[in-house]
Amino acid sequence: MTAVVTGAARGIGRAIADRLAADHDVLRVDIDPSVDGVVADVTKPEDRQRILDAVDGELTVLVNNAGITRDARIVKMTAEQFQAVIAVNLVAAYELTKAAIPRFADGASVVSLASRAYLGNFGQFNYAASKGGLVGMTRALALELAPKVRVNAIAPSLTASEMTRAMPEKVLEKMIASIPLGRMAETGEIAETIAALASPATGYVTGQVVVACGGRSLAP
Amino acid sequence: MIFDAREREDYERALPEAFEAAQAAAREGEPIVFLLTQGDLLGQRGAPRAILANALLSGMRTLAAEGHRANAVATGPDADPGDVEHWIALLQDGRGVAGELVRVGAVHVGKVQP
Repeated sequence: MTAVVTGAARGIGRAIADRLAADHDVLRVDIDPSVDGVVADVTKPEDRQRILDAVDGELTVLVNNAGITRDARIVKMTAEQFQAVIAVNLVAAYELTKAAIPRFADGASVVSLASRAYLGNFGQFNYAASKGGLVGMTRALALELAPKVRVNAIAPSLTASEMTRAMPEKVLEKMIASIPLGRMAETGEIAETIAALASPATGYVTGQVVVACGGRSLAP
Repeated sequence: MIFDAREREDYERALPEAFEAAQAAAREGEPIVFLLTQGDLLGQRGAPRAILANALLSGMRTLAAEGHRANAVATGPDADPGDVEHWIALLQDGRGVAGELVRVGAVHVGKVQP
C-alpha cells in the first residue's frame, strides 16, 4: 500500500502525508529539500518519472497537493503569473496522474487539492482556473479510470498554515468572520477528509468535489 | 469578447489565449462570454476538454467577483443553434447578470451541477 503525496514538506501536504502514514507507505514529494522523501519539481517530466520510479510496487493513493499562488486582479496579472500557477497546480498534477495510470492498484484512489476558489475568488483568476481545471480533470478521469480507480477532489477554504499565520491579523479576523463555523480549518481536518476519500470506506464515491469550507461557500 | 472553447482540447494553449482575451476585454470594460459544452463540464469527452471547460468556468466566476460582466453558455447536443445565439447575445448585453452559467438544452438535468 503505497501513497504518493506532492507538496508534502509542510502545511496541508505534510498533514496529509502524516495521516496516510497510518495505513500506507508514504512517498513524500516536494521541491523543498527539507522533505523527508523525494525532492522533485513536479513541473519537470523527468522529475515526475523519478517520483514514480521511487514507488515500490503498485500505487494505492495519489494526492495531488503541490500548489502555488501568484495573486493579482485580472487587469494587473502578468502572463508569467498566470502561467506559473497553471503549470504547477494544474498541468503538473494532470501529467503526474496520467503517468501514474499504469501503476495504479485495483481500488486505488486519486485525490486532488482543489480549493473553494474554484467557485470564483477575487484576485485569483489564475488560481481559480487551475483549481477549476483540477475539478474537470477529476470528473473526466473518474469516468475514464472506473471501475479500477476512484478519482475525487477536495476544495478547502481558509486553513491554518504558515501562509495564513503570516496574514495581517485584521484581514484574518474579517475572513474568519465570514465562516459559519467561526474558525479556520486545521490541516489535520483536511487530511482526515482526504484519508476518508482515499479509503475503501468511501468506495462508491468517485468524480466528486468535497467542499471543506466551514460553510463559507453558503454564507452571505 | 466571446471565447469559444467548445471544440478545443489543447488546454495548455487555449488557457493562455483565454487569459489574454479576457484580460483585454476586462481592461476595456467589455462583456465576456465563454462558450462551453455541458459534456465537457462533466468530463464526458476526456480530461483535456474537461480541464479547459472547468478552468474557464472558474475563471469566469472570478472575473465576475472582480466586477466584470463575465458569463458562460454551456451547450448540450440537444441545443438549437438559434437558441445558443439568443443567449450569447443576451449575455453580451450583460445587464445585471455576472458569474452566471446558462445551460442551453436539458441534458444537465439529473447530473452534477458545475
